[in-house]
Amino acid sequence: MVSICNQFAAFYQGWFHINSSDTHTSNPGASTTSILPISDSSSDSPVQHIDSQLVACHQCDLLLKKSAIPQGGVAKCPRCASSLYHNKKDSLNRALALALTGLVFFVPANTLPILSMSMIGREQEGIILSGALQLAKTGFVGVGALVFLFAIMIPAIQLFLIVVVLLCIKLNAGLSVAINLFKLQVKLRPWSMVEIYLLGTLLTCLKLMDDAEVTFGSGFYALVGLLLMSLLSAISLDTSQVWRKLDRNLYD
Amino acid sequence: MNTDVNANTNARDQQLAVCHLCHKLNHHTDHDIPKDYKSICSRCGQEVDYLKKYSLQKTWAYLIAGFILLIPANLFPITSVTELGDKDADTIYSGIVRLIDHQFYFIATLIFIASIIVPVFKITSMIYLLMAVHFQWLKGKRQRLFLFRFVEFIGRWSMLDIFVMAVLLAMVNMGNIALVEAEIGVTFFAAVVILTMLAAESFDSRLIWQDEKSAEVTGK
Ligand SMILES: [Zn+2]
Ligand SMILES: [Zn+2]
Repeated sequence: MVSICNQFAAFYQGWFHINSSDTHTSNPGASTTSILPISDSSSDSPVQHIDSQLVACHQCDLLLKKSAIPQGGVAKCPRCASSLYHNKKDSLNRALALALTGLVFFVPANTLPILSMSMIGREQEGIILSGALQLAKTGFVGVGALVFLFAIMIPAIQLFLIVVVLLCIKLNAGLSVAINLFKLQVKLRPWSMVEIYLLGTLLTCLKLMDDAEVTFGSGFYALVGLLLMSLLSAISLDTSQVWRKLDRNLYD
Repeated sequence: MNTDVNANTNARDQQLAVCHLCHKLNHHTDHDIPKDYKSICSRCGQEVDYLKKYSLQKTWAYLIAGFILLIPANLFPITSVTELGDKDADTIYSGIVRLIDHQFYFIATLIFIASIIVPVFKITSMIYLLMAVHFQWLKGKRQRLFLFRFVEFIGRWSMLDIFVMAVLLAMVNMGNIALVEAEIGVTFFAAVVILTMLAAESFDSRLIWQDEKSAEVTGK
């Protein structure tokens, strides 16, 4: 296992030729031109030129030369180890299929009970919305809205946005709209919390089990399905590839 | 091979700014631009700069607001349980104690981590990261970036307690026999979670790697 890791490490380091080698030898001014031959490019737009040759780490700003990586590989920043870009197999088709499947779970996850419970001869069922509404009814409209948004709406909107953006790319239509939609998709990423909601449901179930008979409803399983599909589509979606396809300055 | 890392070129040394949203490289200059001119990403239209605009100020603002609200979030009750006419209100802390009393050790541990450890750890870590930027500490940049990524990752999990409550509210709703209600503390706590998440989001990790030369240019 260790040897495999070492091989990988050597592999990654080989992909990046660190610019410092030129910076050391001559004065900084001369090395600038050797790294960035922007002034010589008269035919191509400079923006296109830089972007196809160089990449900067968005976490630490290190400038690197781009190099090809094998399928399934990932290019990592040698300084801070954050991933720069991937080369995922059949990324767009897989992500599209998975996101569409995830959307199928949206309606049952919302309408079917998450938990059902029988206590002192009474039956009680709860859906996601009923918890949020109960919060709103007792005066906590903001918190209720947040629960509903984070638990189901934002994850579902994200899947929907992936579907729309990828279809736009496939049909090569409405790309300027797709850019804005994909921006929204990226911005929403930290606010999707299905997994936390599911853990919350699990804990509630454990808590109630002492006094009552509690069972997971079909809504719970639909929500698990939605979570799995969004995770899988996020894993298979090659974000940098989507951006490249959306870029008006590139034709690939 | 990692030894000559310090000699590496940053994108901003080449007058390039990476878009924090779509990661495209854009040309950018510090000088000769009109005051209200915004330089935007040629691909996605997001504003680009060497660092996110007002990153430090925004992060401090969100963080201080979050820290202040953490006090009422912990002092005021967040839930109340009415059982056979008796109403019992619980703060975050007393709720955990009650869980332990009822031998729900697993749940108590998770809620303790998500509601108490995570917010406190997050706020102190962010303050440490901001201090490191202000005083330009040079050592441990890599560790600080890992710390930042960890803080970014764990922040959302503080919502756990609120989700548990939302599900309980939907389930235990039987009038006078058994009723769970939210109390004012929950609003403060939700605000703390959101504000600390916004603080992490407005912090630009490139600040960690900023060297003295570029720090002078930004004036920070
Ligand atoms: Zn990096
Ligand atoms: Zn951009």
